[in-house]
Amino acid sequence: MRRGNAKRRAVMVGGLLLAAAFAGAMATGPVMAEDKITIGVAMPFQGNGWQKGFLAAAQWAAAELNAKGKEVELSVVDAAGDPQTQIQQINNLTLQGVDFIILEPLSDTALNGAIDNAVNAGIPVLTTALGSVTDSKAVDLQFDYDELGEKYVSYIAERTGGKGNALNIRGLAGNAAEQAIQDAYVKALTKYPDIKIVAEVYGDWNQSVAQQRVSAILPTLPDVNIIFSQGVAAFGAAQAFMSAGRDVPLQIYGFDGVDANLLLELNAKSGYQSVAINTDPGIGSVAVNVAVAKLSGIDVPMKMISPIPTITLEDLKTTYKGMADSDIAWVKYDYDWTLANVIHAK
Amino acid sequence: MMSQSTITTTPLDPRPETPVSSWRRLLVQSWMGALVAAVALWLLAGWVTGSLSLSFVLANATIAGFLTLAGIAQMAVIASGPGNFDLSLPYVITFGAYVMSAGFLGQGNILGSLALTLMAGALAGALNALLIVRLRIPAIVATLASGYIIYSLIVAIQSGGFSRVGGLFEATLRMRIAGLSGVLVITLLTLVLVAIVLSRTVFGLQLHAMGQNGEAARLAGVRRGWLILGTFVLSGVLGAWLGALLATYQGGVSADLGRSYLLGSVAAVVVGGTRITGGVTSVFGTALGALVLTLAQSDLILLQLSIGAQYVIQGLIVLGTVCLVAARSSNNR
Repeated sequence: MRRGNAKRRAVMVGGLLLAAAFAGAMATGPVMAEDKITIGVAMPFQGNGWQKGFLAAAQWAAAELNAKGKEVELSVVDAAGDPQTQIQQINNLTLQGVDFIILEPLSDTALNGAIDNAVNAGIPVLTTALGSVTDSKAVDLQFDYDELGEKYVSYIAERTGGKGNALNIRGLAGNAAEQAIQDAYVKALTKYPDIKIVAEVYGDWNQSVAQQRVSAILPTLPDVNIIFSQGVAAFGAAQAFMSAGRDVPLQIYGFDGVDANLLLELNAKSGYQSVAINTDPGIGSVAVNVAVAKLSGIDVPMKMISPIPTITLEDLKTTYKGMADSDIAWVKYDYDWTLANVIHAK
Repeated sequence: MMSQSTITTTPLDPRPETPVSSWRRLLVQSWMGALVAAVALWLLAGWVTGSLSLSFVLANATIAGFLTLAGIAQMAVIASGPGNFDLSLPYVITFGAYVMSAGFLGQGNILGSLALTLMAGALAGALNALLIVRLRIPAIVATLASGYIIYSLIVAIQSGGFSRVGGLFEATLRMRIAGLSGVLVITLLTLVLVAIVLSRTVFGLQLHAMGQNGEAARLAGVRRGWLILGTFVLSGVLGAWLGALLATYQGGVSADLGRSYLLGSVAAVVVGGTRITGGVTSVFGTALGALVLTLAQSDLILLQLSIGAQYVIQGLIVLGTVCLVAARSSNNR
């Protein structure tokens, strides 16, 4: 008897949960309207500040365009790090009939089928930020990682006179963008043979992981006066050094609020100088502008480059004043700027 | 003929009692392998870097401490019965970290945030227990589902922003006494507390009984429902406590904070010599297992092996340990 009751209860609860799930899905379904541009934004994960900044930039660009008279709406989905989920999401966006898909691909090959589906249905796909895909039908908006490597390494070389021992904190192992950044650093470092990388850890683009891995090997590290990292590790690395009672070496900071506030703190305490150079989450605004341009009939090249900005201490004290730890700095690229410098760039 | 049911008492071990020296008894402890491995890894690091450094072990011990907390949370669940796992653990850890950093009860109110965090962990555990006991869903499936539910709570809470916990709590965790970090001391105190709960309280003894033989335990009067509740609440509270410590010690949170603790927690339990089939726990073993895994990872970094090789070797360590433990226990049968 008891078993029968439990079974009935289980079926009832299960049924209720499924109904709730469907209702939720229906309620957030698309609203179709004429003359409105719906852009599907396929985020890879919401886990880090960079992605938050990307989305904020995209939403800012959409708001700017709405203020100028266009009607732009973003339909955002998050794949929680799983390429299979991302395939389904691209297919869902295609079925929903969005006008454009902005995609941060979790895999450079697995999504090609879904991208082809979208393009064949007349929906242009733009890959950006996290990486590219091997499918040639997708428009590609990327950073010039060589430019990043150049700017990054030459700042360090300038400050240290071209010599020093460096700790290299890499990103997420196996990721194409991670490898591209690493290759760019190595290429730029060939000009400065006296800067030696004495240790290397993977920070997984995560401040806590970076802190833990650096702490683990810090007692056995020789004297290190430079740290190389990939934009989301400077705070964690500094924490590791400070907990071990060592001075924070020269490093370039990312655009996270925690990084920026730490740099300001170190500067106020001891005159520590540095800059923030990072791949810019503001590429989200460029992506939205490109999408609107393409849908307005402007001829958009298949490969475009978005700039790598340098944010100085001065900028942090003025333009980006008062950042909370959970914020991220990003540069605003408006529609006209994007047209002139990205779409029509030589 | 009347069917007779006789209750016979059989000795636990039919072999005659042989006097065993205390050295021998020490050597067959389940965690001895892990201890030997830990020492070997420390010596290896010393050889690679040219100097045997105690601070290397202590730095790794701090990180291993975090892994141990996750490990004992998982261990309690594993001990409660064969096939029980807590797949929601990484999400509970992350959720705890966010609740701690969100400062719902006021920014500087550390005790309040801590209480709220532990309560959140307990509720997560209660949710798991509800799914398992009331709806009769197997633990793996139930915790998988609750994990996703907690993940959506994390996404919701994330948009509200967070800030460093800071204050006296952060200062305590980062303090160094003779090379030991404050957080390591607090972790050790937690481990001692849990060890006492698991071995000296009625709850602990009933948990082991249920894990070893659920039917016999039920006949002996152990109430399975309440015990499952207690186990998962313990696991949830430990997970949330770990999240709070991580958020405070590291001065920041991110949605993938708990990610590495899922498989890591199971690995720590296994490498520490605890059997996956349940019914046995060893806090000391799990702590050593966590230390071995952490030292192994650091050694692999120092050896400058490629990341692929590092992953392969870490996997082989866990696999090798499982095989050794299985071989040992089949010898004892």
